[in-house]
Amino acid sequence: MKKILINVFVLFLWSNVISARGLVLNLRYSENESSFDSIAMKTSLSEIGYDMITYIVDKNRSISEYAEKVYEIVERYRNAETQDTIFLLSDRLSTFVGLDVVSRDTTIHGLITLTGAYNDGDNFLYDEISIKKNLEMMDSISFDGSKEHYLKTVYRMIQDKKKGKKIKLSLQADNMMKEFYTLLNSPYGTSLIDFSLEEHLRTTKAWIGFLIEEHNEMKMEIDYMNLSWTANKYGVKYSAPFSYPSDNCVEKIKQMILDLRQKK
Amino acid sequence: MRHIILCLLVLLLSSTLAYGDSIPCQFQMRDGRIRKGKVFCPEKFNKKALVIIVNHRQQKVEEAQFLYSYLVDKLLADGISCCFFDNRPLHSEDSTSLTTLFDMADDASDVYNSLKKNKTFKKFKMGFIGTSESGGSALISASSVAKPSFLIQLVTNVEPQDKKDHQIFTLYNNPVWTAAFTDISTALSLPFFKQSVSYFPNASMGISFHEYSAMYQIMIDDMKHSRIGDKEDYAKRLYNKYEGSIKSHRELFAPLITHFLGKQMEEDYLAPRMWYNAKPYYKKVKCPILFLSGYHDYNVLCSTNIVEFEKTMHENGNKNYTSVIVDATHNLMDFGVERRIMHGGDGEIDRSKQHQIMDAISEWLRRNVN
Repeated sequence: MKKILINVFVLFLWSNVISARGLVLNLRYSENESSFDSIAMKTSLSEIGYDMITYIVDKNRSISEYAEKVYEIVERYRNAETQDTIFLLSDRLSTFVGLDVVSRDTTIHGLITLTGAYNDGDNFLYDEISIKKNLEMMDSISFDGSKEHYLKTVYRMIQDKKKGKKIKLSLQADNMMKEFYTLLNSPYGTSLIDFSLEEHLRTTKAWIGFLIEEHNEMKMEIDYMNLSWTANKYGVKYSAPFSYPSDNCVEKIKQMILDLRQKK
Repeated sequence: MRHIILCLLVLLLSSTLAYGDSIPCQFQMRDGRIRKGKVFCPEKFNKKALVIIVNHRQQKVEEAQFLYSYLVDKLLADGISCCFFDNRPLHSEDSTSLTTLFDMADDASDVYNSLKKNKTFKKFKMGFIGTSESGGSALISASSVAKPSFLIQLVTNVEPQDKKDHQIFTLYNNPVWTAAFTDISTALSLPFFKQSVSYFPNASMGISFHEYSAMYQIMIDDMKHSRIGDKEDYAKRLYNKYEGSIKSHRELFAPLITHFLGKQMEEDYLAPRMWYNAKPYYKKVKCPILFLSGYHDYNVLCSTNIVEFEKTMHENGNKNYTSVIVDATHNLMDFGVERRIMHGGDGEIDRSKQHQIMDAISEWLRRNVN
C-alpha cells in the first residue's frame, strides 16, 4: 500500500514537471525527518527554473535497487524534456543512493548532500553508533568497560554481517542497538555493508555540493576527511563544507544550485 | 620574557610539589649519551608505579613540568611516581635535520629501559603518557619496550599523519590561507572560523576549493617523499600546474607557497612527522590504553580519531582499552592558545574542567596499576 502511494505521489509530481527546465531529484530517507519545508523548497527552486521530485528511500530495498529506480526517473525526465541540468539532493542516509547514481550516470550535474555521509558502509555504521555512544558518555570514563563492550558488540555484528553470518541481538539491547540491528538486517543495511566510497568516486563526474547543518560538525569531520582525500585522487569536484543553520536550508540549497550550475 | 616567566613558574611549582622527593637520574640513551631527568616520588602509599612523561619535541622539560603539574600532584597524592627528562634540541647539532616524534619515542623508550635497570625502580609498573604529537611518541615507545604497564594518550592522532594534516589544514587551521587561495565567501562558509573575518586578506586568487584542497594534498605528498627540492622552483612549477585555475592576484601564488613550504619544512612541525601512522604500532601494544579526545579540539579532531582508535582496538582484539570524549579543547594542559576563541576573551579561565579531566586520568591510572 505504501509503495503504491509513493508511486502515485511520484507520478503526481511527474505530471507537474512538463514545463520545467531543470530538475532537482530529492532523495529522502523515509525514517528521517525532512531537513526543509518541501513547499517552500519547491517554490524557491521554481523561481530559478527548477522542479523538484521527491523520491523516498527506505530500508526495504538495496542501494543499487534504489539507484536503478532513480536512474529510470532521470531517464524519463531527460526523454521528456530539453536537456538541462539535473541535480540530486540527498539527506544523510540517502547519500549512498545518490553516490551510486552519479557514479553511473555521468550526465547528472551535481549531487547536493545535506549532512551527507561519505564513508565506506561498514565504517559509516560503526562510526554513527560510536559517536552517539561516546557523546552520551561525554566526560565520563566507563570504568567497568561497559561502553567499550557495547561498541565491540557493534563492531562484531558488522564483521559477522560482512562474512555472511547470522547476527544476533542481545536480550539487553537498548533502542539504539535495536535500530542498528534492524537496519543491518534490512536489504538497505545489507547493501551498505559492502559500499565502497572509493569505488563510487572513481567514476563520478558530477559536482558534489557539501552542505552541513550546523551542530553536525563532528559527523562532517569524518565525511570531509574521506571525501576530500579520496575525491582528490580521482579529480572529483566538490564544494567546501558549507555549514548552514537549519532555518536557512532552502536558501542554502538554492544558492548551491545557482553556484554549481555555472560550473563545468 | 616567556622563558623568564616559565622559569619563575617552574621554581614556584618545584616549591609546591609537596608530596614527595625528586630523585635526580641519569639515563643512558642509545646514541651513547647521557640524558638528565628527575623522578618525583610520593612520600607515602608508594604504589610502585611510575609514569614517564613523554617529551614533545617543541617543548622544553620545564614547560612539560608546568603543564602536567596538576596531574603530577594528583598522581603523587595517589602514590604514583612521575618521571621527567631533558629534551633534545629541535634541530640536530649540524642543523641538517629536525628532531621528529620518532626521536621523542626513542628517548622515552631509552628512559624506560634505563629505569628498568635502576635498582629503585626496576620492579615498578611503568608506562607512558603523551599529549598531542607526543601521544604518538608515547605509543611508539609503548610498542617498542618490554611489558609496559599502561599507555595514556591525550588528544592525539590515530589517522595517518598526512591525511590528518590535510584535513586540519584545509578545514580549520588556516582560514586566511583558504581565503587567499579560494575566495572570502568560501572561507567564511567553513564552520568554526567565521569570527576570523577581520583577518581575511582583501586579495583572493579564486581557485576552486577542491582544486585548492587537491593542491595541498599534492604538497603534503611531495613533502612526505622529499620531492620539493628548491622551494621557489617548486612553487613556480605548482603555479604552472594551476595557472589556468587562478582568476586574479596571480602574483600572490608563488610567494605564498614558498613561505608555506619554508615554514613547514624548516621552522614548524609538518614535514618531519608525515610518515607517522599509528595503526601498526597499536598491534604491538597489549597493555591497558586510555585514549582521551577533546570535543572542542580543532587540531586533532575527536570524531575521526576516536572511532579510528576504537576500530583498531577491535581489529587487534585488544579488550583492555578505554576511550573517552571530554568537553575540552586541544590544549587540555594549557588553555592559553584557545582562550580567545573558546573561553570568551582574556578574562579568567575556569580551570575546574581541566582539573576534572586530570582527576579522571589519575583515577583510571590508579585502578590500572593496582
